[in-house]
Amino acid sequence: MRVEVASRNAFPKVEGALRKAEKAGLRASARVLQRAVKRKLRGGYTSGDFTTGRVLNSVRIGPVEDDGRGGLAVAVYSDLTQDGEAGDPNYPLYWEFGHFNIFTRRFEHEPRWGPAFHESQEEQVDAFIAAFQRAMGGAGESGGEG
Amino acid sequence: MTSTTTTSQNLTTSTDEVVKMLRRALLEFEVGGATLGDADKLAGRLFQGTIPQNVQYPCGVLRLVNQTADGSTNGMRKVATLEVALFGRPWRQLALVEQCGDLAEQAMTQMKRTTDGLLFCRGSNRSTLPAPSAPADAETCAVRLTFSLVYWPTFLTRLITYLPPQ
Repeated sequence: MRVEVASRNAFPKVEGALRKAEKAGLRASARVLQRAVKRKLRGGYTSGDFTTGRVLNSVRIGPVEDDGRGGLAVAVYSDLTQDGEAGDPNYPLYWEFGHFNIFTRRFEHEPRWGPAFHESQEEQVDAFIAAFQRAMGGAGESGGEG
Repeated sequence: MTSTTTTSQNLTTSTDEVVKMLRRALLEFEVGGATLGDADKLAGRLFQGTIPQNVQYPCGVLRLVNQTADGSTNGMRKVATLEVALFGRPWRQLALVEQCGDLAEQAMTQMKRTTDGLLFCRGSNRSTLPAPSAPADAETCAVRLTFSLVYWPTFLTRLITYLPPQ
């Protein structure tokens, strides 16, 4: 009779699966944030009379990347390009942080991205967990396949 | 350099008092005889919420945003961000605005209030904004600072007796 005890290093496989699940989680979180930002931008700024939808339609999700500190990160950003005055890529920044507006002749400050991020944090975390669990094969609070 | 620790009362009895106290601390903090409230800096032009029309430069605005509290302290320990935006005009005032930003950073780095509620600052973030174009006034320069605050305001803590776990 012969009994053999063998071990295989499954760590690379587990690590790869975790990394993949993390990325799926971050992408899901980013989609929540993108939706939240777009909702906030729907009415434009100030009166909304001059809303063209350019900023709203420029909200993008970047690739999941190393954050340089051992983790992963994903950006939700505006990709407005420079095409004349109206196309200043920093246009959303002026409204987010406040600026002196040459048309209204006063200080204008209408943050959208910060509040959207803040208000959707719980939903982002929920989306991350759900996507992470799906990517890991459904194991979660219910116990999965055991 | 003077510390911003103080024993004056009624600092955290309302959110408005918290913001007013932070404003005073920013304007009155002294380094080498200079304060942000000096006539050649902001004087009194550090506004709460928004900046009025026809203001002189440099000027600034502060807001307390993203206030959160969680269940671990029964909602009494608040975490918030103090946002301070400083503006100069014309663009060549940028150096002066940066100096004002340094004073603001120094004031908030030293910030701790230990009577009538507990309040302290535990981190900051600072950016010099890029030169703007329309619709923003291209001659305006700006420095934006955010400070992470932790506070136990008396308007909450006076409601019940709470002892954090040892």
